[in-house]
Formats: sequence, structure tokens, C-alpha cells
Amino acid sequence: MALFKKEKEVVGLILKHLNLIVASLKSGLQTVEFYLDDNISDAKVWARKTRGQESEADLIRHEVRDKLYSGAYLPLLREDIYKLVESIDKVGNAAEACADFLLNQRPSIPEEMKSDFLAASKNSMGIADSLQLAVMCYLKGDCKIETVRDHTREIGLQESKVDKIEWDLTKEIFISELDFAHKTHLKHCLDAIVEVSDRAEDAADQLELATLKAMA
Amino acid sequence: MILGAGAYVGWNIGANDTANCVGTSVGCGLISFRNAVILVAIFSILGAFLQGEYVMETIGKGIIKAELSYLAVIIALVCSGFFVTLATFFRIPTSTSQAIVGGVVGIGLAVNAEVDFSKFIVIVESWIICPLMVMTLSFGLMYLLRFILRRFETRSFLFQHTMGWLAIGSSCYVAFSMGANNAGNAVGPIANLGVLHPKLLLLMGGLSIAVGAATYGKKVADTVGKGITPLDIPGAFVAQISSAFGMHFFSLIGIPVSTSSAIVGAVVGVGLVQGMKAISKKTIMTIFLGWLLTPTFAAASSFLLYKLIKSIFA
Repeated sequence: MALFKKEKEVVGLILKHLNLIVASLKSGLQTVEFYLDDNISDAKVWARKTRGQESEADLIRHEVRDKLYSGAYLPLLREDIYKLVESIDKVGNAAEACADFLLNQRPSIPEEMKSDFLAASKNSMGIADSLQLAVMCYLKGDCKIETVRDHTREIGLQESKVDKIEWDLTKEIFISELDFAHKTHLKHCLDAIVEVSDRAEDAADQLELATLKAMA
Repeated sequence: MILGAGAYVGWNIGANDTANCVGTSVGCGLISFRNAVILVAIFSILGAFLQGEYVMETIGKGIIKAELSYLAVIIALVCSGFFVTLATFFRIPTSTSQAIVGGVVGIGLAVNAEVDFSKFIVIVESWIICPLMVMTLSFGLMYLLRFILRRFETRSFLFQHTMGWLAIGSSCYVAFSMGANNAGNAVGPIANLGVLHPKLLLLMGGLSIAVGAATYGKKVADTVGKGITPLDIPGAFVAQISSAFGMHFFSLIGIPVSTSSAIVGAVVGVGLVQGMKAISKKTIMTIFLGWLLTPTFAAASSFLLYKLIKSIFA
């Protein structure tokens, strides 16, 4: 149907962008897993994959922006739509930054902390599924608004879980016998990992704002 | 000069009543004021040209049972226009219909012409009935829309976009109804004088409304769009479609109703769905006072000015 063709194209592009971001998070998690297994060569492959997926998502984000500002959607909605896309893109950026951190700075993670780092990564980057569900649910318009908000709430809960792991791991790092430079480096590594879930929570907030604005 | 006076009233209608057509859409951020004015210009000219003759007849021949002189018509138009200009300056959405009816009655009394008070009472009744009718309609529609939205629970961007276009479409309908109902106010008193063909007069009325909207329409648009109650897209749509329906109905039976009272009634109706707290009582009181004073002052001033000029030149 020709009605709202441009707008439907934008929705299609946003979903494509979202899928790439989710894929970049999964690749990012693979990178961390291989890195923690001391398999640097595979970690490099997955880090490159993460970067590639994020770059591809960037191109689509630009396409969404161009379509929006060449007349798709009413001006009132354009800003909200683009802010949502931008906030989703930042989640991918965080995953890319995390993979880059590991491969570029090669932090030395003590064996006894590896399982906690893995748990932090799985929870932080595993937020991708809830984010994907929430955004798809809203954009396709085939879910109830409450379902969308349930998914955004789920993202918030997952982020709190990551915060708890971060708190415990930070404490574990700083009470260890490691030297201060090492501690600080590990803390930076942890920050890069939890940044993903922080950005996902921002994206969920942006989505929730869009749903609230649409409430009649 | 007499055409100028008619154009002045038309300009006032555009300046004050543009808000009635697009204030809600501009207020909720759907369209820019500039684009809104273009829509008002197109649709008010269309409304005036295609369906403006019913109200023009009422204003021209229905209230005063006598042929008015050029001077009397000019005074009625200028006095009505002046008080609408004043209200516009103070950002009050007043009624040009009420002002012009007041002006015509005032001048009718001044020239000792027979005033058809039964017709006048019907018109005044419509000023009360129209906003109440529109308020009830918008309250009902908003309630229904909220019920439907809650039932289907979808608010995707595409859904909001569709609602937005419906709201813009309803703005065009209000502008059409405004042209149909209010252009007659501007040129009705001139119609009897045979200066121009009635269709050309209506076109002139429509054009002057468009110019008024473009040059001085922003002030009242802010009051209607933001001052009474905060509106979302569905609210703007319901307010506009209800007021347009009410005005169109009265246009077709030839009663000059106030677009301002129609849209204010509609916005209040939408706001009431969220409860009394959603309504700014101060803004409503100011608007209500404007409605009361504009026709009274227009009638009194045209009566007194005519008497004064006659006594000076007698």
C-alpha cells in the first residue's frame, strides 16, 4: 500500500538497525568469552565482527536520519524517532568500545575474577534480547502498550542486576592484593563492560518516553 | 472605503480566529505556525467562496429590517473590528460573529430601524448552544477515542503519525467552516449595498481572513493551543473535528456562531475527560469576559459613534 510508504521504510530501517546492534552485542559477548579463555586470535575475529556490525548499523542510522529529515513522519515525531535510534546506536557503540578495550589494552584478568567478569558481560550484553523485544513490539504496533512497558521494565531490572555484579566485582578488585595500576585497569575494563547495559537502559527510557507521549 | 472596512473585519477574523482552526495543532507541535497559516488561507477562502452566502444573508438582511447607509455600515464594521483587534492584542479568543452582530444591532438602533429581535435572540441562543453542543460532542468523542485506544493499546510511531494527519485534516475542516461561517460577517453588511457581486465579496472576505491569519494570528493561537489545557495529538484532533462539525452545522442553517466559542468549548470538553483540574479556570474566565464585552462594546460604540457623527454633521 502506497499510504505512508516513507514512514514504513523508516520502520523497516530501524528494525534492520536494531538487528545489527543486537548482533554486535552478541559478537561483543563472544569477544569477551574468547578473551577470558585466553583465545586471543578468535577474540580478534569477533571484535572485528562487532566493529563491522556497528559500522553497518551507523550507515543505516544515517539513512534513517536522511529519510526522516526529507519528510518521513510529522516534524513532531521525527525528533523522538531519531533520539530512539541514536540511543539504540549508543548501545552498539558501547559493545564495540568494550571489544576494542580488551583487544587494544589487553587487561590481565586474574583467574579467580574471570567468572565474575564473564557474569558481568553476559548480563550486560545479554540485555540485547529484552531491548530487541521492546523496540520491535513498539515499532510494529502489534503489542499492547503495557507489554512494551513490561519489556522496558525488564531492561531496568537487568541493568540493576548488572549494577549489583559491578558493585561486588569492584569491591573484589580493590580489596585484592593486586597493585593499584592493575586494579584501576581492571576497573576500567569492568566499566567498559557495564557501559553496554547502562546505554541499553537509556534506550529503554527513551522508548518509554515515546510511549508516554503517545498516551491519550 | 466600505470595502476597506469589510476587509478590516475580515483581517480581524483571520487574526483572532486562525487560532480556532490551527491553535490546537500548532499548540501540540504538529505543524509550524507558518504552514498552518497556509492551510487556513486555502481552506477559509474555499469555505467563504463555496458556502459563505448563508451567513452573509443573515448578517445582511436578517437582523435589521432596513437598508443601511454607507456610513452606518462603515461604523458597524469598524466598531466591531476595533474591539476584536483589542481582544487579539490581549490574546483573548473573542468572537467576531458576536462583535459584528452587536455592531449591526447597535447601528440598527441608532438609525431607528426595525431590529428583528426574534432573529437576534435565535442568534444569541446559538452562541450559548454552540459551545455547549461542541463541548458535549468533544467530551463524548474524546471519551470514546480514549476507550478505543485503551482497548487496542497500540501507540506506534506510525499510529501517532496517522493521528497527526487526522488532526491536520480536521484543522482544514475548521478553516473551511470558519470561512463558510465568518466571511459572511465581514461582508454581510456590505452585500445589500450592491458594491460588488456577492461571490466576489465573499472571496474578498476569505482573502482578508487569510491576510489576518498570516499577519497577526500567532497571539491567540498560543492561548487556544496551550493556555486552556495541554493537548496531545488525539486531543487536538477531537477538539478540531467537534468544533468544525458544530460550526458547519450552524453555517448551513445560516446562523453566525463564534468559531472561538466553538473551539474553546471543544478544548474544554477534551480537557474535562481528564477532570476539572486539567482546565485553566483563569483563562476560561478571561475568554468568557471577552465574549460578553466584545458584542456589548461593539453595539454601544457603533450606536454612540453614529449618533455623534450625525449630531456633528446635522
